[in-house]
Amino acid sequence: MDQASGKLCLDGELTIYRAGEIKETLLALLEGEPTPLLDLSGVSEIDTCGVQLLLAAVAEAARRQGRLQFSQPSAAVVEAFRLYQIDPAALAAQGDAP
Amino acid sequence: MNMDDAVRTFAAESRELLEEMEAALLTLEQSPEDSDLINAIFRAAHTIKGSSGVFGFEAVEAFTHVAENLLDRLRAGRLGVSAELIALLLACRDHIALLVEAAVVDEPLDGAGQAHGETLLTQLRGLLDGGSAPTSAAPAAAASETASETADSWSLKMNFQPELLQHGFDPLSLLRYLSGMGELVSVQRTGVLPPLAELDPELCYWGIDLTLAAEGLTRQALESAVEFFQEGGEIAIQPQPRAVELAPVASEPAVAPVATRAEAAPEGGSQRPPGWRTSGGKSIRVDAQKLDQLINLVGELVISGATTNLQAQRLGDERLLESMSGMSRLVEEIRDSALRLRMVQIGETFNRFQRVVRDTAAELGKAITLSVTGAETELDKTVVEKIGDPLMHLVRNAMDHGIESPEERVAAGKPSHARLGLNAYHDSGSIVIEVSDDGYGLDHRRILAKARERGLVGPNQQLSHAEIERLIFEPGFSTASQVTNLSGRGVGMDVVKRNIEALRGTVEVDTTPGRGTVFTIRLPLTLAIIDGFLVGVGHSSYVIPLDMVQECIEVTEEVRGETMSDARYINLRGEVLPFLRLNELFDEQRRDLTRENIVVVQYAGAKAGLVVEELLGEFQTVIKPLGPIFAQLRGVSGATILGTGEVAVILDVPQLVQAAAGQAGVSHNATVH
Repeated sequence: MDQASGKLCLDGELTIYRAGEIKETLLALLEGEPTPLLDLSGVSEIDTCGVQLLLAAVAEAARRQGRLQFSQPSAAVVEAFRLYQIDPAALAAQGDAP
Repeated sequence: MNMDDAVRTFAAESRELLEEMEAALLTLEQSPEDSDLINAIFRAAHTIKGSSGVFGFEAVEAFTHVAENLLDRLRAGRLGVSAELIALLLACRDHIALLVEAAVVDEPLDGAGQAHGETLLTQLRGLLDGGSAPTSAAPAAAASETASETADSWSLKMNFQPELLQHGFDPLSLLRYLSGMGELVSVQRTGVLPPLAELDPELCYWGIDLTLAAEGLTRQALESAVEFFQEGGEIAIQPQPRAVELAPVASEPAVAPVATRAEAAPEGGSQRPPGWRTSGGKSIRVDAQKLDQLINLVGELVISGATTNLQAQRLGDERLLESMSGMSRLVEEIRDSALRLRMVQIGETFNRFQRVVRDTAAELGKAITLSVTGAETELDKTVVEKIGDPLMHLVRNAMDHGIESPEERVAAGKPSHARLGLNAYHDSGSIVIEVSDDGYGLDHRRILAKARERGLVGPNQQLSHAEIERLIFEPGFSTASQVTNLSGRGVGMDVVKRNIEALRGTVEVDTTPGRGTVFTIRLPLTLAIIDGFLVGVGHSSYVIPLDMVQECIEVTEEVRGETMSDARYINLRGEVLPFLRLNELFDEQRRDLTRENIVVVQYAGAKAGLVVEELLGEFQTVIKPLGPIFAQLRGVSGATILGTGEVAVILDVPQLVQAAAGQAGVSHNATVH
């Protein structure tokens, strides 16, 4: 993790097992930098908890007048976004506010 | 509930369903017209498919799906029940069981298993394709049923309970599943995510509205796909008018008007109570470990009760003694009820043999009916788990060697259909299990000849029938003239006997030539508590299981002469009784050189004397298993804690009897006379 430059790598499972821990990590990240880059290349698995967290983090960044960007989403993340029909680019632009 | 728990529940439920399925299939073979049975089989397969899909166990899901299709045919009456079909479905059931077990441990099936699965799939598909009516006839045939309602595009509106994710159900896996059924034309998330700081990361905040397009998709197929999520939320399913399907798919939350949800609700199953897995309420599922822990604690309670009782007696306070005796009674009752919690009916074990008997009889070309009685007899779960193998051996042995071929039976004037019986009942603190057949019976002359040939019996030794029958439990003894792949490799009855003795049980055989054989297994109801006989040796106490104690003899002057001699046996009313000195065996310093007693123990027909100093009387004992360090220790089967807090060793009588016979230089058999 390289929080100083506003970049964070999320590795491994982005699932309910680690949801609490990831939430805290994301909050801490946004606390320091409202426009961070989230590297998702190392995410091996993601579930609805993980997707919810990512979207909530995007909204949180927008609330702080910043912008959270995903970089290099792994195959698992791409599939989850495809199934939920989430467009990460559009998200980053507007925040997720259904 | 975390994921592991959920998977374990899945495994347990699947096993139960598979057992039900097997039982129903076997009954269906007898009464092919019974639509309830077909429905039960279908439901079992359907549920397994649904839950394995939810867990992402694709191998289970894919295979079960094909089997389910065939069952659906059967259910619709478009396929008749035949012996071949039952055999195929039983094989499918077995394969599903394999797949489930493999999925649970997260390992793929081995090559042979996979090949077998492919073969079954080919057979299933062959039946499906060649069924009497083509698939396309289905909607027409059952047009009146909403379940078979067909549309090319469906709208699903799903609201989930927030705890859905914690129960191990992920809407994402449902989306994945649906995307395999057709095209997800649109997926809309409903519901609002709270700000990140307030978000409970384990709750599900979303609902999903989606449109699924697939040609000729039935409502039933959709309902079964979402079945498991219906228990964790509300799902409304509506067919989409064609026009909407053609409309451009945009971010517009296109689909069904709100009003349709109310209409669809009764069908979508949303009337179910929102509770999770609300079952009948007749029984609850409890982790076996929790029960073991409870029984362990009750054991401790019994011990500490005994300690308190001892203290009270020492103090001699009347009122304390009185309240102690009240408490002791309660402790005893608690102990009994706790042990009863772990009691299960033996019927489940028995019923497993229906299949074994069916398959084996077919293999051997014999006609055998299994009749089960006393299925409701209860015994400790730990005993049930260990009795399966010995029973299996006895049942197979009876079918293989005990029962004649139909021709032989008719020639002997018996009905061509043989009867194999499994019976259980309680008898004074034991459970008795009988395996009976109406076959040849044991051939005494052949057994005796064989025993002489093997040197188990001297050429001039005369044995009673009971003694001859007992010979079949000797190691390396088998009368089978030809070795079949079922039994008869000579590693038979002695293993059965050893396994049963390891459970502190006994096995006996009784036979009537030409009429049949009965094997009687006698087992303690529980392995946790025994009635013991407490003896003192040196400064320690030892417990001998009371049911093995035959008598106690004081060592009189006359006997002492014998015990002092080098010969390691005494004359007990004209009988040769080998004995062991416990103080020598366990290296105890003798405290009292003047008094000695001999406890005569008997096991499986052989007797031995154990020389001890003090007889301390009966004592109810909670058995504490010894750690693996003591696994090599001979002559000891466990330990217990006395009221005084001291540890007493529980003696392994079968081993001691053997040791005594060995050192006294008398053969095992000779002690019987």
